[in-house]
Amino acid sequence: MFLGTEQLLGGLVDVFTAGNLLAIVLGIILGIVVGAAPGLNSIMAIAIAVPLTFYMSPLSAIVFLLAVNKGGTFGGSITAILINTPGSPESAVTGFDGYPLAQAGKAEKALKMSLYASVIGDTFSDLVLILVAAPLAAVALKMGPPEITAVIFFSLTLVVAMTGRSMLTGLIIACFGFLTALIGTDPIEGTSRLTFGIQVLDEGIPLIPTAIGLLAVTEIFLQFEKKTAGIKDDIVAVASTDPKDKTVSLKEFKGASKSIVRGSLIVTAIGALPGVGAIIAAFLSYGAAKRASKSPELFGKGSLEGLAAAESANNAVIGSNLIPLFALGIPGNVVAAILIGAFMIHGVIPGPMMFQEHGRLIAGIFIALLLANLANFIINLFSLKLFAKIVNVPKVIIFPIVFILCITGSYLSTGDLFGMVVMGLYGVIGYLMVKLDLSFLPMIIGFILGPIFEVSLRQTMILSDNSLMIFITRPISLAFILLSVISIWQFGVKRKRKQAALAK
Amino acid sequence: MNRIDAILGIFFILFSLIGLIFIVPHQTISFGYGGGLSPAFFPNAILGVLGALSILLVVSNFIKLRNNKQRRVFDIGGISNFIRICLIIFGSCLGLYYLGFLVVSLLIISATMLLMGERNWRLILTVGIVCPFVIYLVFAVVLKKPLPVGILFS
Repeated sequence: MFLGTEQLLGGLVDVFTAGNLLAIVLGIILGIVVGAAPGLNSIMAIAIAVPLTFYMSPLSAIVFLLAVNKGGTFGGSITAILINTPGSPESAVTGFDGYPLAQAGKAEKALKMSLYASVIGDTFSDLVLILVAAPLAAVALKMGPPEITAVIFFSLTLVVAMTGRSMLTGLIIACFGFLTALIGTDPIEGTSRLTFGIQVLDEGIPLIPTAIGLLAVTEIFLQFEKKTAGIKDDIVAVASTDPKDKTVSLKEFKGASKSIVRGSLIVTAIGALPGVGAIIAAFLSYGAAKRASKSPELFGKGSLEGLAAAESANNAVIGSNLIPLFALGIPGNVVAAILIGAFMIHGVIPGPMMFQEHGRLIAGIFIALLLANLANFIINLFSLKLFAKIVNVPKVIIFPIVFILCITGSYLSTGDLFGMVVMGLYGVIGYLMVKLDLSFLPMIIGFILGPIFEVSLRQTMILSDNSLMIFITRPISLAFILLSVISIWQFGVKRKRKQAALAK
Repeated sequence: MNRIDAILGIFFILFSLIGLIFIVPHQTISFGYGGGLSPAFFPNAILGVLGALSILLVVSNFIKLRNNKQRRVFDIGGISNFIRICLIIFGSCLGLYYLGFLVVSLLIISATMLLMGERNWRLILTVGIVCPFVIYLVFAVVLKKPLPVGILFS
């Protein structure tokens, strides 16, 4: 089950082609540019980039998207440090110390420390992914439909429980996402379901326009609203002229290295759980670094240790979140959910079978992940000042362009106006959800995991002659059912008690 | 917990009832191949769960509603923004169908930039012309994937 020498060598040869190397470099650059643009983030970058991959080979496409994610995550940190406007919630922790450093004229120092911590954290988690995914997939291959159903059920409870302001609303939103995924042709009997006779719905609601609508168009609407309300763009602080403020000394790096290692370790372990996103990871790492620091009073006021802890955590999540995707075919976060769509477009079904059927592709992806980290480091090291200027591009220019890119991507994903209509509809739904203070992550997860759950449960029921006892009589499925109950208890009931205590 | 959740709960209760009574029975066909669960099982089950969760949401909010100050989600400006957003989106779909990508992109960019407060016409026209042209060049010319030309120009 482990990748063999032949596959590794094949993957190595595949990656070192001009096209794939270019995909890595362009992906990193696109990610940084989009991530560093105020109001945009790595998830939007990926959503916009997916249509570009329709014409690439599977390896180039996946590598390109992963590179966009890496570049975009670091790009988000640039805005967090320079204007305290994080592209994504997890980058907010970066802003705690990054922004005070920038205000003190040490923006370049902060950006460089952030880059070092990001690349180390990211590389560490990628190495763990490479070492863990294949053995985990080998175990997963021995599982049948009942076990897969139980694992997906567990993932759903984790994801839903940890997103949104309440578990109840999270579940409702996830159910709604699941329901919309049921539209189309029934996966077992092949009959039309909930299509209202509309032929275009027979293939179901397409994922890419849905993701673009929820993730990118929603944000465009929100920014549009802010601008029409007269909210002005942020201004970057003036940089210091002292050369010491522009570099990270060896002493400073050594001082922050423990935070980087700690952050990478904590987050790689936790980030592998589906749904435990970068936000929790970044806060955990930051908190641990503060507790262990000799000068905790500096945290929040421009501590390099704090900045390194947040950044290593942000980026260590990138690799570890891919573990459930590669090993089990379960998306750990939104990025992984979009990647599932990209894999499927290229005829690859993510999950344990992928290691058997596409071993060479997986080997190529693993090698490319490490190369992308190197590219991310080199590109940013030499172009950091240039990318930092993107922060100054007015939103009034960025958002109309991104909107046109969204329209183009949605149109190309289906080849007709249906993609655009879906994008628009989900953009409006996403906007309303944000206005109602609801997270749309459970909706995307429900939309993607729902159909997989349905197929495995229906297969299980056929196997067991409609008896639910099959979940209890098989040890792995029983274990995951028990874990699901614990997770619901842990996050639902305990959170309710906590909220009640806070209300008092 | 707030009034928004209560309204959301009521909406989803109605949604699930309509789904269970009127939609699923008429929009699912089963030939009963191979035993197991029918195509209607999951829509019914999800709608049932959705309805039950929504009832819980309404009940839990009804109890606590009086103790909470309510946040205003939409004011008049918010509603007009929402209408503008819907108009832009669905206007774009219709526009693409009739006028094609290049013309509609120019119009969308100009309209959104104007609505976002930009008054520099030179900038609006530059972005409005250059951006669609570059995107068209990349997709339609380089990647050979046709973008809509519109029925008026085809």
